[in-house]
Amino acid sequence: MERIFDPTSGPVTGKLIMARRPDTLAGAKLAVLWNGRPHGDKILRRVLDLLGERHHLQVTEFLKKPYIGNVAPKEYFDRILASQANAVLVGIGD
Amino acid sequence: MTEARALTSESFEVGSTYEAIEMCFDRGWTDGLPVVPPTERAIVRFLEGAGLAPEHVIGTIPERDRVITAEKLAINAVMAGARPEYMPVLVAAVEALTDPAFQFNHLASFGSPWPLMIVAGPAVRELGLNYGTWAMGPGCRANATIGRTLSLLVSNCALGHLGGIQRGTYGHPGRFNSMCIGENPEEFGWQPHNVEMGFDRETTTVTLLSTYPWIQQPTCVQMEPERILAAIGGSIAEGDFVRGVYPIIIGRPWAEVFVRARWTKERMAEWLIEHTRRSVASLKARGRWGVLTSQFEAFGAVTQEVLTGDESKYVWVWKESDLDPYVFDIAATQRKKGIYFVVAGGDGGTRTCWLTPYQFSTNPVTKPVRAR
Repeated sequence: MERIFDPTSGPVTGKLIMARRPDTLAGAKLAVLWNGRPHGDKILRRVLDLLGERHHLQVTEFLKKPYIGNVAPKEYFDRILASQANAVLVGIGD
Repeated sequence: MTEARALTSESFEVGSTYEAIEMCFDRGWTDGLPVVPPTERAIVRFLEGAGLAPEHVIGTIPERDRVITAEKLAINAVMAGARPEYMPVLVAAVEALTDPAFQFNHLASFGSPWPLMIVAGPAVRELGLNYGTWAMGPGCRANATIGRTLSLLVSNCALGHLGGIQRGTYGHPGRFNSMCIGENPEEFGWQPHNVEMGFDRETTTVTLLSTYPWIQQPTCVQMEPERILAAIGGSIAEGDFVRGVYPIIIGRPWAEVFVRARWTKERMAEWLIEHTRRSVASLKARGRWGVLTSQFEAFGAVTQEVLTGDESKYVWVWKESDLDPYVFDIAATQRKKGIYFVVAGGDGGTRTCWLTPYQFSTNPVTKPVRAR
């Protein structure tokens, strides 16, 4: 009989959690964060078109990261929060 | 002596070693291969090997809201099949992994990057790291388990596993164990990697450098500096054409050619920087022109059609030119570029080896191994 120890680590602050999906997009405010990959704007705008056909959406921000390889600037998060978006559509491209 | 009662990880009672191994599988703690059950006695020995208290924080990963403690590193090292005396090297590796310059988050990317780990200095011999024949193959416990520890740690403590925060399209075979190499420590006039990184010969260093899987390049049997470099540079130029820090791994016979000819690493790098280029025609033929960078919109309608004169226009892998914005991300200002020449591998054959640095973000990081 012996004991073995858990090798995993859990979150430290608990502040980094996945955003809760909105219950509905009807009438929602939506922000878009494009990570900068080529043609991502085309994909994201097409997704917005399709969503718009089903829901009355308001797009509050459409932001493109300056460089794919870095985290988006803090200013972007501030703008998205200030826009009171209900959800953020994050997308790529290529 | 580290007190066993200081361990804070949750523990589970098991009836046998076999049951323990199966529990590790069931709980998703392995890389798909069996692990050594992390018992209290073993973990304490590894903590003693590191000279660290269990709660000592070696590094933090803000992107995952995680800290890496000595206890978690020790548990994963036990599971990987490592030995307690490897712990100082592993601590340095975790310090590199969690350094902000390494930009941990890139490991989740589509490109499936994984860091090559280069150990250079006295610990290569002390720990029995393989630096010769089959240097990147399986069979040497130190190479295999040091590399495997890092992989298990990223899986278990930073969500770097299938089903976690991991979006690699294909995954990286080197994560199983063979991305840890020792640099050949024999003295033959070659500047060792640890010295190149700014440390003295007696200080062992660990360098992490995120790459795609390695490429072996037939180099030639004509042992002249320019011919060897032309073969390597030609291969690099025809590759992904990424700008970053490239590790080039050469066996001692090739390194001796440069030593005998009195070529320093600096001169070797200068030669490659000057000569490693690719024509615009070739870049267009591979769809590598004007469309794969963050600033592509600025170009308007970019054609991949090869135009007259494109065969004689060039872009260099490392040397800057006016055409760079069509190929490289100009916003990647914090991206290092350069070449690390490392001596490892067998004496036979006609091949050298190089690795493409991961395309975005991330920089190589070197940390000294501190005596415990």
